[in-house]
Amino acid sequence: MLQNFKIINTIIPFIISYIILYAIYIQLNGEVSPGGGFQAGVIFASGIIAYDLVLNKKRMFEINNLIVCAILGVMLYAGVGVISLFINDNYLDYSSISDNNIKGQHIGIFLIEIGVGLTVSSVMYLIYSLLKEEAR
Amino acid sequence: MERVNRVTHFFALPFQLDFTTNEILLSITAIMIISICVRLIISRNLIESIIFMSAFSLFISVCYLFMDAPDVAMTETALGACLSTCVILNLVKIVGQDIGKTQKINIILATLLCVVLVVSLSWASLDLPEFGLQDSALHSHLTNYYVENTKKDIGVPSMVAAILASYRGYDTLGETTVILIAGLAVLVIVSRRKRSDASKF
Repeated sequence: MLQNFKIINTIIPFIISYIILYAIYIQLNGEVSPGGGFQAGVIFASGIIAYDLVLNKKRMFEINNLIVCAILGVMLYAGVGVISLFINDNYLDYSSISDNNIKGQHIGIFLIEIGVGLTVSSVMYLIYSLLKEEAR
Repeated sequence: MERVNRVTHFFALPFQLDFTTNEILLSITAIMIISICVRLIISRNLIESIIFMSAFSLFISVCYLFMDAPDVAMTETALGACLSTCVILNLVKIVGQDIGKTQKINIILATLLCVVLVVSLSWASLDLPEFGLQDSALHSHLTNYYVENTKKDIGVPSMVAAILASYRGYDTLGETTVILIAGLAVLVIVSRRKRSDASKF
């Protein structure tokens, strides 16, 4: 549909790299600046969807791989929570990850935001690609 | 003053603006949103409506940005203006563009219901506390605890990230699981339909 427009065809491949770079920036700086895992995942997915809209390939990722990625994200989140159970602490209390309280919180928040980003980006692309195939 | 000097990124724009400038920009965006809504009611083409909904999301995210909520603004732009538009555009291919032939609803009843809703909501909003008031009931219990203890307990500059990921870790775990289940539910619905189609022929 979009292949007929020359401007869109030229600009979107140019801008996609910046969208994905911005998503990675938000993911890594989630605890310093606004945004976090959810926003980073959505922006990453929309970058991939923009690529998909312009080039209109058949399917970029297999559905099984997307589901495995989404489940890995939730498991990473839950697994980080389990760590503190072994050190006689509450579930999802990141203070016990490291010997320093604040350092442990930093590591915990960083890890769980990676998990959230992984789940959100793969699920958003999964929904988009399923509906796209349905419409075909 | 300390707050203004500390934050330098783009999302700190509302802090650096004057309060009145901020209010003027906010009312301009509000007028834009109202005109988009009026245009949305008139439109009879489905693709046109989707584009106007996307524009609505974009303008309301600017509104959120001027009301000092950059996290919500970012989510609204990415999810409302960009991603859901792409998803709904695929649905248009299934449903078809023209909605002129669809069954017309009773317009007088619908208008009456809308007017009643608007009047009652405006009447209820008179009881809301003033925007940004610090001693309202909303901001006097838990918010103070977070503001005082985030630096000491978590040590993270972004208070929203600290609350979402650490203080309310259970909530975020549940939300992530809900997103996963939503994806799986879409997959189940689509694949079941394919199987029944295959068995029919």
